Amino acid sequence: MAFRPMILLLVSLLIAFLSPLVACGEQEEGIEVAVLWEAPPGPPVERNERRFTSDLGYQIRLTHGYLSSQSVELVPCTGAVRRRSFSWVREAQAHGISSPTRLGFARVDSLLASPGSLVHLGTLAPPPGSYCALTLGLRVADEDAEGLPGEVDMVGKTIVVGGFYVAPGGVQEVAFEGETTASAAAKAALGPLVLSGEGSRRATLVLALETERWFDGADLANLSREQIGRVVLQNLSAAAKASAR
Amino acid sequence: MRSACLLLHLFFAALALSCDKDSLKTDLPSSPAEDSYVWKLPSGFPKPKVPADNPMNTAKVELGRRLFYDRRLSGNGTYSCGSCHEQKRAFTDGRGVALGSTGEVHPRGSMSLANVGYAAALTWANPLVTTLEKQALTPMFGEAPVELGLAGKEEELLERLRREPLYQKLFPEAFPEVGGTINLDTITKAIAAFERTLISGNSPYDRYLAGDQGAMSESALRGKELFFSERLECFHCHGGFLLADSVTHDGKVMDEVMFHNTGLYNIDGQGGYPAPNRGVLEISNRPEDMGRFKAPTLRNIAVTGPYMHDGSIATLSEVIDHYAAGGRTIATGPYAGDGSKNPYKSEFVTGFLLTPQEKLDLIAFLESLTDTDFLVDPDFSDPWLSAP
Repeated sequence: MAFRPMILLLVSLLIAFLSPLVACGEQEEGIEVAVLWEAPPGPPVERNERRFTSDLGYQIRLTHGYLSSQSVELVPCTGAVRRRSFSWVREAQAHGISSPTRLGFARVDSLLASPGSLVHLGTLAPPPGSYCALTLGLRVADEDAEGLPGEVDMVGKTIVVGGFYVAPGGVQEVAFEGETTASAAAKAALGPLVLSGEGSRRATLVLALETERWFDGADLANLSREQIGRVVLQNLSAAAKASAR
Repeated sequence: MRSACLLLHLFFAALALSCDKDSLKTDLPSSPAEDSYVWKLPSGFPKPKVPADNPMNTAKVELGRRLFYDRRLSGNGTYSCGSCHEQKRAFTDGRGVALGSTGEVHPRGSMSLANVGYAAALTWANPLVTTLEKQALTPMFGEAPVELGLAGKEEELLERLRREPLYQKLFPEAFPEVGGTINLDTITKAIAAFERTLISGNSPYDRYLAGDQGAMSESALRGKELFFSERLECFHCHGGFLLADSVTHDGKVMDEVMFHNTGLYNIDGQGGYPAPNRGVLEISNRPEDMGRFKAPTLRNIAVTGPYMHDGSIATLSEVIDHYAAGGRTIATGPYAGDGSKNPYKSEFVTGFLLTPQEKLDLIAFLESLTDTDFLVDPDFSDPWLSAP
């Protein structure tokens, strides 16, 4: 009999301990979306360079190129995220922070990696819902970014490209370099991707920048490094495609 | 056993509190400085910080409003505070740089006074001016440049005000503790008290945050997401409830004051800004403070152009272009230089790519920060235009 109050107390404490999980929200386990980054598929890499003919008639050999990315995010189909109440916390996320719909990282990838090669960026655990886009955040590389190259200094830059071009009507090869500190977002539309606890709980998304028009619009003979970098970054970020596997 | 049950009750009570967002709102006890004044605070706004030696009261606020708009507060009787701080422009003047009462051109633009009571530092680039009472002395008595032009005319000013019957009534009501004395101390305290009431927080953005889902257009909502994105970085310097930094309020113990170089100039290739507008460096004389200016609130930004400390950018569209480029390039003239290469530039101004639609969305968001009620609120209007 003496133990009864103690047992009641322990049960009460157990309930009290567990009840926050019930009272403060619900969690649906098991939805996972793996995100892979595929090296730009075209044009082909031959002898460690890519060759282009731009819309302006430039013949280009890209001998080195790197791209810095810092996040990938699933975008709900409902559009802008609606917040109902005022928050003292700033509504933006610090660099590198992850959330159920966002992977934060800091990496630099070679733009001369073999087409088709895949890198696992991470796995998201989003809530049930419909997602209409996948966005790759392209930002300047930090000093601790994964994959910093030895041949060029990528720190503080979003993209670096370099090689040689032959101007329209010319025969002489001219060296060029392009780089920029500008941020960009490569947004790829999704089908939509519908995730639910009852239906599709797992997916694999492959994100790639699918274009062979990297240098279109770039008058290489008359642009600064920064301008060349911006044009290539613009062309690549506008060519994001995502596919489910 | 009874004490155990009591503990459980306490635990569940704490649990209930932790799960109820509304219960997290705390009504901080009024500081001794805040006596009879009833603040009209928008949802989510804290009380402004009030100096202990200048407690708020209704009579003082009304007196301050009268003084703010009183042209007798200029040396030649042509200017008041309100001449450079017009309500319809969120208390700016629509000029690139301000014009003093004697026609002297100020090197910088008139800052908005919307929510100025929350500013941890006042003016564009002076970290030492931290109270409205102290700041008021600069436009009144400053000589480089002349603003209100009262230097050397202190007694004349006091005589003018002492002759005004309305002030003979309002000063004693506002300052009973000093018998209604009319002096520089009570004048600046009253103006400061009025300025603290200039609170703006009923824009479409505020209404949206309060739950009105239709308050902002879809374009403005997309712009909001861009504004708070890592890609654009705007929020780092224009964040929080004022969309600004260097913000303080009642109960805040530590005030953080920040100034930023946005790459607006680089006239010598070494980060130079044109004198005498070189930012905090003018005060500190430290090279690294070159071009560092305050990030103003973006509330009502659509009506406060032209922009930047010197009004050198005319439109919001061009401001966005400046930040998208990661700094401004001036091709020719005495200020020629590539601001994006300014060595003192903020790490957040790296530039970004923006589609034409995204730019329109961002502008729509900035326009959604206009509180039209604030711009016509009779509590903030010129009382001399109507019968006293």
